[in-house]
Amino acid sequence: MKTYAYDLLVNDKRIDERAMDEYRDIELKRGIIKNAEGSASCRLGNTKVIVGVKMGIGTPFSDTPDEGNLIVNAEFTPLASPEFEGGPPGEDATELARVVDRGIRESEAMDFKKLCITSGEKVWMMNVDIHIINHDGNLIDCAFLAALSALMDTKIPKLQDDKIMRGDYESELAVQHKPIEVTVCKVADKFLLDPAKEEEDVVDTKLTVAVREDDSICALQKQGAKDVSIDDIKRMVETAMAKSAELRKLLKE
Amino acid sequence: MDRFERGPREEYDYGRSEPQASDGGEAAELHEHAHRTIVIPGEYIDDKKGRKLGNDVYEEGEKVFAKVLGIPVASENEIKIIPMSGVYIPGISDNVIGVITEVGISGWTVDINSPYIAFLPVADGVDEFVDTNRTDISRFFDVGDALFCKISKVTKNKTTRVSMRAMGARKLPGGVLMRVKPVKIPRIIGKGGSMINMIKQRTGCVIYVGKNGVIWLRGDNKAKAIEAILTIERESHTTGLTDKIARMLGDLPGVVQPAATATAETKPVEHEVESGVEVEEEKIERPKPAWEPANF
Amino acid sequence: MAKTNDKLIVGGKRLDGRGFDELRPITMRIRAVEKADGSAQVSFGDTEAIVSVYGPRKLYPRFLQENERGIMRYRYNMAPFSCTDRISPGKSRRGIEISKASRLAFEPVAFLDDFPTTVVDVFTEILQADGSTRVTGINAASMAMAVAGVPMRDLVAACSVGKIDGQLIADLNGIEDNNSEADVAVAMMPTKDRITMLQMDGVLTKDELFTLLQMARENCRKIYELQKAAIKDSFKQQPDVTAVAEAAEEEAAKESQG
Repeated sequence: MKTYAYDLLVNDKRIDERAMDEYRDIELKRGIIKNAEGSASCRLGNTKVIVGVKMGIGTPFSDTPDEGNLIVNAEFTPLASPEFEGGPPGEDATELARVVDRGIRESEAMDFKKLCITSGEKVWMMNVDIHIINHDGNLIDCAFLAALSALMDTKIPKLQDDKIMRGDYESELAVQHKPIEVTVCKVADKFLLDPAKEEEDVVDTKLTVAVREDDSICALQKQGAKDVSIDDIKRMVETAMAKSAELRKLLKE
Repeated sequence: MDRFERGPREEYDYGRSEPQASDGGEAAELHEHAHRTIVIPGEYIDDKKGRKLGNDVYEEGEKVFAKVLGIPVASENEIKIIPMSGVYIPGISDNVIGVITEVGISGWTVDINSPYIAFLPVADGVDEFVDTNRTDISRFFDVGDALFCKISKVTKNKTTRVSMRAMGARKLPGGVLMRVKPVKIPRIIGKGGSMINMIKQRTGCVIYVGKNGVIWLRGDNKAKAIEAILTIERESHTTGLTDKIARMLGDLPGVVQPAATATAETKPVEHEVESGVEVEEEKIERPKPAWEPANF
Repeated sequence: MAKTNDKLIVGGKRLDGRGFDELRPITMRIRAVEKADGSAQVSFGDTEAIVSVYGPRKLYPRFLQENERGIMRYRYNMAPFSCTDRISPGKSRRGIEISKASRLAFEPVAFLDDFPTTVVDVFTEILQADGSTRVTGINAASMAMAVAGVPMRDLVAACSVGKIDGQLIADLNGIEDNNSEADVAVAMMPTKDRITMLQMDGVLTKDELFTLLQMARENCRKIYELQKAAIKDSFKQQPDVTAVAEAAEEEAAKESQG
């Protein structure tokens, strides 16, 4: 069902007077969750996401005996939207977690070898938990900014006789790359960035592009129920690449 | 039962062109040549040239493409596809065989072998006046009864009504029901009814064929008739099918063989429907073929 | 499947002897599952997928129904014995994500408006996994839907492309998939030249990505011709016909032109 948002967008107008390629106001805060080894919140317009990083000890995978593990999870908490129901992650939450994971993993933002404790036996497990607090569109981009900021906030706890000394840190997690995920949307023949929820409900297609600071593309995920041409894809990728530089500036060291 | 269709004249003929070759005719002939002209979804058929389009094709500008797997038919007035498969979608005026699944207060819910359920209102089911507040209408039709009826209305989102106020509509007591792919029905009926009449004659069975892919049979030799029908369903795209079926049915004992030049005008032998006799109804879906996998 | 430090390209050819733009041998068979409304079995080398399509059929519970159009449900699942290490049965997060992306590959293609309140169910099982399982599943699903009579704008053809040892390639097998510098899954409506699914992992420059998209487009067209032939051939002969692609030979001929 097409709403007033659709009528605005096909005429190059937003519901809040932004330009088609303009992001809403962004606020990033770090270190907001006391009990997490790393944390951050991102407010993108009214969309709000909190990410907490908890570190634990686990066994490495057999084919990577000296690498730590990254597990990204997302909760579409029912308080965030009338559309979210409680229960295990549905397909959208699962997809968001995996798309954020790929952006971090494929860009090699972290050196997993530095998370090795004892090769073949013990490694650090990084649980990056994405908690949606308010859903007003563009969850992936917001969650990614929060997740990367949380990683940049993460400190590795000291280990004493194999016990984690929570609150006592030995070092900061080394984040060696700064990928950004930009989701480009298409409605009719118009392209836009950072849709508010009402706008997102009427877009035909979305393409999330993970871009590293050297302009490498590290992940792509097309969403939405419509088809696109290869030229559309090219244009969306180029738009994402251009925008990512601007957003990266928000990730201060 | 010489009746005109009564009730509101239905006019919502949503999405349907004239009944698809229900007399066999062209469709039956084309099935003989299926392997030569079959098209897949998205294949280009012809330019529109002002013609009417059937349900299973779509247009992009002046070009017309197939929506489904089937045989394209492009005549002077129309472009359409005879589909090779697909579920039955109710079309107004279709004669179908339905089975009552629920008895309500003002009518019955009928399973018409479609993703869409049909409703038979009391007024269209029974001749007499019925006070629905007082009467339990299951005394007319009950759960499990098979009916030969007509689609009387189909709305835009496919809410469907059937009616017994049509020529030949009746309850089908006893006998067995079988389901075939609805797209095979024209082939099973044959040109001008030739195929189904041959089966009826040579087996002596009463057979009703619904456009929705449901067939009702009654008679001692119904197993032979069922086998013939399944063979047609499986091999509908081959040639020489009529002869093959004729040979299969051959001479059955006790059945009067019609003259060699049987035509559609020959009256099939019909058994009178015995009222008040309880006959066990078996519902056969499809006997397992001896070999695998099953083909159409 | 394990990672390896060995080279994936030796003597200018891939480990299985293929050229860079060469597809594996492909088999395609329709009507693989008798009970389904439509079904197909497709293999690319050792990767094998079997798909059943049921519908359009009535959708329950009713609150899931959409009044204006039918819906599609797509389930991608890997059989426990499909990989070298056993996979626990049940839903995995990866399976859920792939199911969603695969469903969206077909959403723009099926005429769901023709079937309000109904559902088309697509069940994809990966019987053997040797890389590029989701696109193999999509190729089979597309044929199964056509055979079931689900109205569509076009078939959907899908393939994987990627980068190994700095070289851009098509149709990644298992070892290539696990050790690639980048891998991309693409699904298209081949005769309309439209993309319906695009997923990528790895590191690519923009130019590499655009080149890969072109490779994907060409290979999807080849796969489409095989799908079309397999469906049409089945109606010519009895009973089921396995359409074996002479892809390897064709590719070799093309490769020799550089």
